[in-house]
Amino acid sequence: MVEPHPSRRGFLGGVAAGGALLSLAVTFGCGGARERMVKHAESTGELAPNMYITVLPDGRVRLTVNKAEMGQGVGTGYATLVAEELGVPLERIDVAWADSRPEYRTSFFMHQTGGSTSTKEAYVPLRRAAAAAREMLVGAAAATWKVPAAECTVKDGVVAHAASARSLGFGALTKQAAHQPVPARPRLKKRAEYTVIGKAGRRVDARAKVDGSARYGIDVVVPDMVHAYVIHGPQYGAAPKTFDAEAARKRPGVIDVLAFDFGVAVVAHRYWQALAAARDVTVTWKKGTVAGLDTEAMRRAMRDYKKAGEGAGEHGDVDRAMSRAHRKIEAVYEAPYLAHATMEPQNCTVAVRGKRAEVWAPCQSPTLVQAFVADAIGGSRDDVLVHTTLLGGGFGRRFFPDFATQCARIAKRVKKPVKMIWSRESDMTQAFYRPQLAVMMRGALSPAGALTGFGAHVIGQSISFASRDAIGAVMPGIPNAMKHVITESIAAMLSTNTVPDMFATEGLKNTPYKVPNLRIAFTPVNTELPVASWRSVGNSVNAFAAEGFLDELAHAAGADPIAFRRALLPARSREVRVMDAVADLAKWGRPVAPGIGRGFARHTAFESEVAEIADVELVDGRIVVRRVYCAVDCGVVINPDIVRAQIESAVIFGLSAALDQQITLVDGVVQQSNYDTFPLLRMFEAPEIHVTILDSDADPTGVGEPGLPPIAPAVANAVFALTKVRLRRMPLQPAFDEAKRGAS
Amino acid sequence: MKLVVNGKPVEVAVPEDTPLLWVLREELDLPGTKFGCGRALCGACTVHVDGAPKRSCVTPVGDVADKQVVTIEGLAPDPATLHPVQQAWIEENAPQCGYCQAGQIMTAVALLRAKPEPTDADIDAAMSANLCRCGTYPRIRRAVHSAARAIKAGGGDRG
Amino acid sequence: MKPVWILPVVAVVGVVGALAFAEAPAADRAAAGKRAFATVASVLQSPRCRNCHPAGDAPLQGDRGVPHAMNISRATVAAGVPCTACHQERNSEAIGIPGGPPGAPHWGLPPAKTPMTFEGRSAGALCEQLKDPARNGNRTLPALLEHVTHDPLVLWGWNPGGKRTTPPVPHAAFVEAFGTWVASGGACP
Repeated sequence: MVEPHPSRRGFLGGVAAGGALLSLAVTFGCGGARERMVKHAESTGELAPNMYITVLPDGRVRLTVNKAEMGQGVGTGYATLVAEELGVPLERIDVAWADSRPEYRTSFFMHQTGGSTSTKEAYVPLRRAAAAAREMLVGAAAATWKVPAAECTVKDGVVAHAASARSLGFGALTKQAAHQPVPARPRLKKRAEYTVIGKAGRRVDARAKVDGSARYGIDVVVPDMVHAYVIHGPQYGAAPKTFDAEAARKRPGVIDVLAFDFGVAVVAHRYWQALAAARDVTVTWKKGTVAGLDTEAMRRAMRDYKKAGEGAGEHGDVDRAMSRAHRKIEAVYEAPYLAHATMEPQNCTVAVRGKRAEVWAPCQSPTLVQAFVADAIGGSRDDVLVHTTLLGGGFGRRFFPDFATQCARIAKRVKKPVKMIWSRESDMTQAFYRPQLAVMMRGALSPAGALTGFGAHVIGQSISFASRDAIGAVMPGIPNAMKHVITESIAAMLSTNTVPDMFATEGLKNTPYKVPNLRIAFTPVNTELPVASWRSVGNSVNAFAAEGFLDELAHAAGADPIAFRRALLPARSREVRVMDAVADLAKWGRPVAPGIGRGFARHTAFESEVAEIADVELVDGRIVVRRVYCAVDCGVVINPDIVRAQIESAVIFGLSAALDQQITLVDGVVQQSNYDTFPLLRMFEAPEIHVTILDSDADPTGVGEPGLPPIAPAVANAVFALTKVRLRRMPLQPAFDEAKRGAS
Repeated sequence: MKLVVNGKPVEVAVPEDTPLLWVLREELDLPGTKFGCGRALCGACTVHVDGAPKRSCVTPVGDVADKQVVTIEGLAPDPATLHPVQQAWIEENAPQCGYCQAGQIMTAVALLRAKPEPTDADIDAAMSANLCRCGTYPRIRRAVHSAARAIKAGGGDRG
Repeated sequence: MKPVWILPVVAVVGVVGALAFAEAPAADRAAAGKRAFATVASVLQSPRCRNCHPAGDAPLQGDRGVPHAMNISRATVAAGVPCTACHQERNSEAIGIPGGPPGAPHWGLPPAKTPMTFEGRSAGALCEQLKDPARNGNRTLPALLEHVTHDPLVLWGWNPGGKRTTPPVPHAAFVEAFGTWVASGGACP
């Protein structure tokens, strides 16, 4: 892969970096872009008809991807779309990562990667960009040969004219092609014509990721760079009160030891020098911003909350349905705070000069990094240039650029480029967690076992509220001075729940189940502990509540869990087809082996539909998940092996959380600090995973996240099938242990 | 201090208690070995010392003086070739974010030297101390098996 | 924590103790040996010693003796990952990594063929196992005394780092009791 590194000096010195290539317009051939394209081709031999695609004189293609590669395979997916429409082999495409320039803000006014939207977003525009380039290359060849373009064909990066037995490689056509009109609506292939899309090709980044040459944020090296290690306080949000760094300053390589409100930064020539010196720094701390926060007390308070909550979706009258029910069932489902625990700890590299900055960050949104770094150094957003590196995992955490803010503030004081690397302990204790939540469920059953009323009330911290700064920061056309006013109004609206929270009830308010009386509600419980999107966001908890509770209702109605759901879904719907597919795959309904419990759950998230069946066993009291069957409908599949990989990934990520993980606080101090106290599933615990992908003609929908929501309820439902113990609280293993203790 | 890294003798001026990880990354420009946890809990920093896997984040560099250190960058016999384990990783589309994979591969190579035809239980025994947050375990398992077949067919891993 | 440089002295005390008992009548020596073995057993079954002398193939962790995390067992070692992949020559605190793995030279489990199980054994069974050359790696009683007196991995038990507890008696007292037991010819309770 090629990683463009425009000159730092150029950017910071205010010189237009990279020349004409950088100023090419996002749209095709409008305004002065056409002339720039021609000039660029004349001087470099490169055809650059749009911001994504550059055809090089050697026939290779540089694809600039305005997304972050965090494992989901977006580079391979985008390259596949381009290979298909441009007519080049996948191996001839070099993926580069777009920097933070405004034309790349194609997603919610941002350059951002999240919400399982990348493939959906690019499916048409990127193919169009590639097809436009192909038509220009064909046009150039046809003009050269004086034959109709329609008689020319493209294969493997070569334009051919069969009748005259002539052919020219793309690389030989770039200059002439730049003079061709950029077609606004090039012809796109029909699905039946695809030869690359839908094939299980290898990842374009695999080679670099197995030979040690892949470069992540933590690997960034820039000239004159120094290193920072940050000591964070024991309570979240604690600022240093006093610190003694006399001894540390005398350590070899130490440049300075600096106090900030977020902690104490030890800056040295080498990171190992900073690490060693940090041991000699003594800090006393002020009270943290969440002093007193106790997650167990918070959990009890949320469980005991009796009011109804603001409605997020309602039809019919659930209260009346409940009062008239033949059987009514109520239950509280609970989920803890969770860390993302990306394998690459949070880190960032920033060079500040005056009010300009250049940033290298493993981040999910360079646009947000621009805004936050601009704030940190007192500059404006467009004076901050952000290079997105490879990400050693994202999962929603790297959307929130607190790390960039800290690094920028250190760099501003040190007056040298600084690479800041957090310890694993800081990564785990410095928040941006999935919120701790309680979901109050209620259901009404008719004498025939039909679901007549369904209610869900989510209680907990609002991600939207916690993201108010981020939301404000990226609003288009809002001057800095106005930004805080706006974020405060957003905050006020969200804290009083006068605007619907976009994450809190996702997966509930859009439930596909047809129930005559339904009410979905939310009550925000806000703390100063930052919460964040965490792979599948609200869905990860809401599916656990909804699908666990549906299993309870099915059992109460004496119905098979899949049959019970089928009765609530439109016949021949996508939901039913996916349920049936996973039932076939797992041979649902046939007897399972002794000692195995089998559970089902399904969920719609990010417009994709996933159903899962988990086979669970108990080994010395430990919940062991042996096999997971998954069926997924995510529209047209770009690379089926990457879809499978993402479903496997989501299942294992979701299982770690479902079984064991929790972040707890006692008096504002996070109790977990590393992978011993916040365990991830390991090789010996990973189940067999079988995935079937439904064939579809629909445009692509999400893949990175939708596999996650069904796994926790599928496992909880399997534990019930095996033991008759109903688990309504994650993590499930401690909940199960507690239930067993209570029973004995 | 004198070390032998990827077959080359090198000299570094660092205190002997400096973790090998940072010496590799910062002094020897070998950033393929990754920092994950700093406490030997995740295996991202795994290298070979005299052929055996080592968590470089908790290994004082003084302990490996004059020993043979091999990192992911030095696993293949030459830059143009890949080790069969690396090749199998590519064929099975094993990496996702890729951050842990250098450590996974180094451990897998040691596994296959000890158990040229590993069972699933052998893989569970050797590979469970290496974490992957992306959940690539099913593919790592497949890749270890296919690398074993490839090494058998190709007559050794040349390591 | 300071290294235990007093150990050679301790060893001398132990050997001198053993020689002193050599003068005593055989019956007294046997009785003293059995009494001393109670002290020896209390040390062997303390978490620092027991954890790497488990009943199964998996080492144990912590004072509660839970099986080692990460699916670690003799099978791990057989599959190419020795204990020394993570456990170095020193406690990780010694190189400024609190909470890292404990370490001492040649960290490891006894071989599978002679597992020298301490966990869950009665004092009598422990005693018989300890002195049986077929089960103790072909060691004589003085060689065992030498092992518990000088082996750095044994000594680590009294300097375990972190918040780990140490065995119930000081190393010197352990060596003295072991010497008494050796002097008794390995009298078993």
